[in-house]
Amino acid sequence: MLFNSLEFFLFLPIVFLLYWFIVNRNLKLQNTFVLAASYFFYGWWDWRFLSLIFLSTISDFILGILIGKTDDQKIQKRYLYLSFVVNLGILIFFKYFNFFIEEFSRLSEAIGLNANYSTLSIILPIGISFYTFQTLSYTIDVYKKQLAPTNDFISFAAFVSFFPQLVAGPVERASTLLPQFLKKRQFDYTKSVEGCQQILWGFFKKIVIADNCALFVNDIFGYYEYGEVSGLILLIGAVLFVIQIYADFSGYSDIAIGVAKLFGFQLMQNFNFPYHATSTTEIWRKWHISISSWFRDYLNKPLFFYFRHWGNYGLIIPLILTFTIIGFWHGANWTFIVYGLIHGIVMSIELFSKKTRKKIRKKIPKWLNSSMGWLITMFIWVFTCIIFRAENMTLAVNYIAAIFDNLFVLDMTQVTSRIIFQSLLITLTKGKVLFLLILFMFVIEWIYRKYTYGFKLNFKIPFLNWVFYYSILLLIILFGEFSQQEFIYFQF
Amino acid sequence: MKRFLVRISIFFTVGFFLLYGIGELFLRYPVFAEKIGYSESWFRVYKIASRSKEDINSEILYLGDSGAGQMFPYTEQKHYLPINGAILIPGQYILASNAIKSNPNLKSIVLIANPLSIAAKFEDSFTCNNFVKPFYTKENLPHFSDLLLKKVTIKPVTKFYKYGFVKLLPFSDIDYFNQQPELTILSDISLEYTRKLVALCKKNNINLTIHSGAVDIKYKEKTNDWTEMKAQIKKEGLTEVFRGFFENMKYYESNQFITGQHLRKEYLADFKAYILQNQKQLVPKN
Repeated sequence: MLFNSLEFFLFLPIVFLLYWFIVNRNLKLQNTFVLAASYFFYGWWDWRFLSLIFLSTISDFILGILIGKTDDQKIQKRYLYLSFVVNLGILIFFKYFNFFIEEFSRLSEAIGLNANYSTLSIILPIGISFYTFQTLSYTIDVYKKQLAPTNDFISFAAFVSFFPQLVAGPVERASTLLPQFLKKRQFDYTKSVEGCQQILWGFFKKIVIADNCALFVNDIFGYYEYGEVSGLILLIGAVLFVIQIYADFSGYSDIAIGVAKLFGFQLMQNFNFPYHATSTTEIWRKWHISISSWFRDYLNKPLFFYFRHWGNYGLIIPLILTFTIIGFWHGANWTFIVYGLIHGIVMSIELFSKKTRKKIRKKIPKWLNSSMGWLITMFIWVFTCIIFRAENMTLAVNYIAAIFDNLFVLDMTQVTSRIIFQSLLITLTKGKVLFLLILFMFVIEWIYRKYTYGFKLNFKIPFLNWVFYYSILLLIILFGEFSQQEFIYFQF
Repeated sequence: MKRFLVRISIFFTVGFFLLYGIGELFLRYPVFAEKIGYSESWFRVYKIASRSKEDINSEILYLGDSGAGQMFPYTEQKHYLPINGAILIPGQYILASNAIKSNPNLKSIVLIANPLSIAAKFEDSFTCNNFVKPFYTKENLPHFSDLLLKKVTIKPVTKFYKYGFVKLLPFSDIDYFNQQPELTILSDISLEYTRKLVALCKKNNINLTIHSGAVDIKYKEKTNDWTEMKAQIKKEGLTEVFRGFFENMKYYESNQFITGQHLRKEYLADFKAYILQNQKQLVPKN
């Protein structure tokens, strides 16, 4: 079920009312209901894949108990590895199997072997990268003794499948979310109002900004003869994609966090206004925080420890490795690997140029330093996002090359440029309106940048809050794109 | 909890009335909606259609499908009102009816449409946004026959389409499409509303001519030179209004079209001249 679908608009109020009025008597009922609602939510897309969530849940539930039962570290480690095998096994099979087969075939052919390995027709289950990492965090935390294993299967199953964040995160740590399932939730008016604000803002970002940007982005990126198009149009397409992916994913996260608040849960902040960042390192502290911090804690830190005697290489290797794997986490495509690799390299450069940059910072005004930092960061981000968006590396390279080849070719007599440019302007009388709406989004988020989400209205006169709520609601209704475009991160 | 539910109920109740008001405002003052950049496809049709209620400052009115719109674009002249084929013949009828009412000096109506647009059935994916949402209003309701009304309201929710705010709501589009193939004879509503159009023009002493738009040559063979449609027109007693329609039909090669029924730019001037020439011959001199 998509958040931006009619079904969800019916599902949410029904589940909300039943949750607070019918099953509110005790904790067990609350959790059983959350579990049932979550399975219903996921099963609406494809009920067959519920078995995967169940498999992941039951295996980690049992392994958690087994880890907790023994003091023998060797045995505990074996159980932990078994948890890795089950969860990553499911993930690798469904997400990466065909990629590895294809690459292996290619490699075999390159060295002269007559390889003919056939791929399988595999559907990628929605949310698999999110819930497998969430449930993995449980066994790791239990193994590290940061969390006591739970004996309450229903609560654990509800934690793994909690519907607001099941399909695209935030990927919660067991140590922060699971305890919330072990306490009876009480209705909190302030939290619920905040939840509604965040949901409203999330829908605005997704339906108004991201999905309208998508109309243009799909047109521009979908026209594969990039050499025929003005570089300026391609650059506009890339910038719009950067805006789309932020509005889409942070919009999703806002809705997920807001919905969770309505049910008495607090999820972690997933975006902290990343486009205000002045370095790539800072962007990654603010972008998809739940997954980047997951990799930082469970991969990067152990790698740093492992390579601690390698001097400077001991700093670079873990960083580049971690970000390459983060890139690969997004999907089985070289574009994602390259995307992650470039970010890893850029962050390594930033790490080693820290002192030099500090010296420069002292010599130039603060505003100039921030602006330069922001421009360089955004330049790198935009161009790596082209790689991220492209279907394959060849198209990504062609796209970037065409931007530089034709950047100053503003000759709109080029047929394709003219067609694309016209569609840009016409689709939303639309270009003008979209530009203003994007501006509005960034201004609002700049005003509320000190808070955990970009629309934390708190006027002393409640009437003013309501004026803003209605304005956003009307913007969604009047300018929203309701062709039910999936959230970009669903494919990961 | 009670406080939350009360507030959220008030929020949505006030929101409902606000939206209702905006829906009515958009219908009555389309310029306002246009100014704030509202550009949904149903509204674009509604906006053009609402011009039929204005003074067109001409004795002749051009109606038609989007192919006709290439030659007589509504942006150029007030008496050019071709919109598209998906507004169906009932849409053309409502435009004609409004224009006659607001323009007592009107003497001729020329409907230029591809035979497929004239034949078009109601049950199509484009019908909701091109005909139902823009034309199904309280004001236009008297123009809706029982048959048409039955088709429009085949799904219960569409009964509310006559209110402006429902047209604005997300997820309010209904797909009327059914599996029947494209028609090469006049559909039931086309037939009914062609008759109504003829009667309307006769009653108001207005010359009505129907001219074919440019047609892809492949249809000549496919329809056996429109044998069925010709027979139907004869049988239904509409020969007079379709006088010259088939005889003057001009065919072009498929590659002379951009898409479907839309001619490439370089052929437009030639075809427009051809239509104007024929029209002079077809319109009886008063």
